[in-house]
Amino acid sequence: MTFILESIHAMEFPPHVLVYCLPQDKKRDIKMSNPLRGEVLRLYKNLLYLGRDYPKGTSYFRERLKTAFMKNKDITDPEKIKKLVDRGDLVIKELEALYFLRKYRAMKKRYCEPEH
Amino acid sequence: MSGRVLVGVKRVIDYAVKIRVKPDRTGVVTDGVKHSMNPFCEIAVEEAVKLKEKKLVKEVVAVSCGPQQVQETIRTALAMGADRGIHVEVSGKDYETLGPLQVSKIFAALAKKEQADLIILGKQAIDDDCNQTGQMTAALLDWPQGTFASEVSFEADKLKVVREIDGGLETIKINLPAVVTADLRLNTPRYATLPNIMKAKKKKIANVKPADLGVDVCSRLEVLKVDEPPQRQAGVKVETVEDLVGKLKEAGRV
Repeated sequence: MTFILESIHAMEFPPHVLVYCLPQDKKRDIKMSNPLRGEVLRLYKNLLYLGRDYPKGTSYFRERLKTAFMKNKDITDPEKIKKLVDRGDLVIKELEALYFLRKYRAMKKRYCEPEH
Repeated sequence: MSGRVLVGVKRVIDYAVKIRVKPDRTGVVTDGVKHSMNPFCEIAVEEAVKLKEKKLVKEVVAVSCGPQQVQETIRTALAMGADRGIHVEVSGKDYETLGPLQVSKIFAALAKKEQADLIILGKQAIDDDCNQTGQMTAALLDWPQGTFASEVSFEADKLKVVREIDGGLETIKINLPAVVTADLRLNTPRYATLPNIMKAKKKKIANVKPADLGVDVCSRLEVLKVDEPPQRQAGVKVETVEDLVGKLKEAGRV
């Protein structure tokens, strides 16, 4: 399985990863609490936690995460919100893959004999 | 067969951090520096959890030796799927001099106490690069060892281990109980995400002192000094082959 991963090109900390637009929770609208609010909050917290290991730094990540969320704070259609949350989950997977690849490549460079 | 697996995890300086030697040359700067679980220990935990998911073992116990902060590392192991943790308290001067010999004595004592069938460790730590703890633990327990494992499977009541060695792979079959040390290609460790960390808060971490296990953590080694590797000298460019030969003769190489 690791050999398949090696063929993936180096993911050079793509900024587009953070431009996925995600809706902000509707805290301010006290009359109509969007049921997806919990989902969005969960997503934000999970991404924030993942951002601690971001290669370019935690604050870099946190700024862009907030911007990305704020960009779509006015979306109300639950369909759209669900789609964006799903995209957010994909971002989480991409980040996990990025972290793994980075670590694997570093360990391989340091500890394994170069092949032929 | 208790079906219990002990996994050793070590808290080390994060692999991506640029290491700095302390001005007094007694060691490396660790205060305020990002720490995380040793990458090979992550692979060890992942393997243990995978064995549990395949129902080949019953319980995964994560063990770490050190001060209060290693509880973070144990929590990460619990978030990855370990059932409970054991924190062996070693702090201050004892922790600074803690090495593979002392840790393997602790593991040997714990393995007997917990009646473990399998011990999985990382092949080496990225801070000291000793590559000794697994081997020493096996020797102290008189258990067989499968080191540099890139594949582990059960065959009847034995363990089949494919080892990464110079020039290729070696497959061995060893009796249980045994010690296995994980190499890079054994598996792909899962990331301990926030929801898993939260769930892991319910799992227990027991506290033990080395003295309770009858282990003396006194070190037999003394670090005299720690230095940075020598700075790379700039290369010199030459125009012709004669110049090259001349320069080599100057340097006394020819």
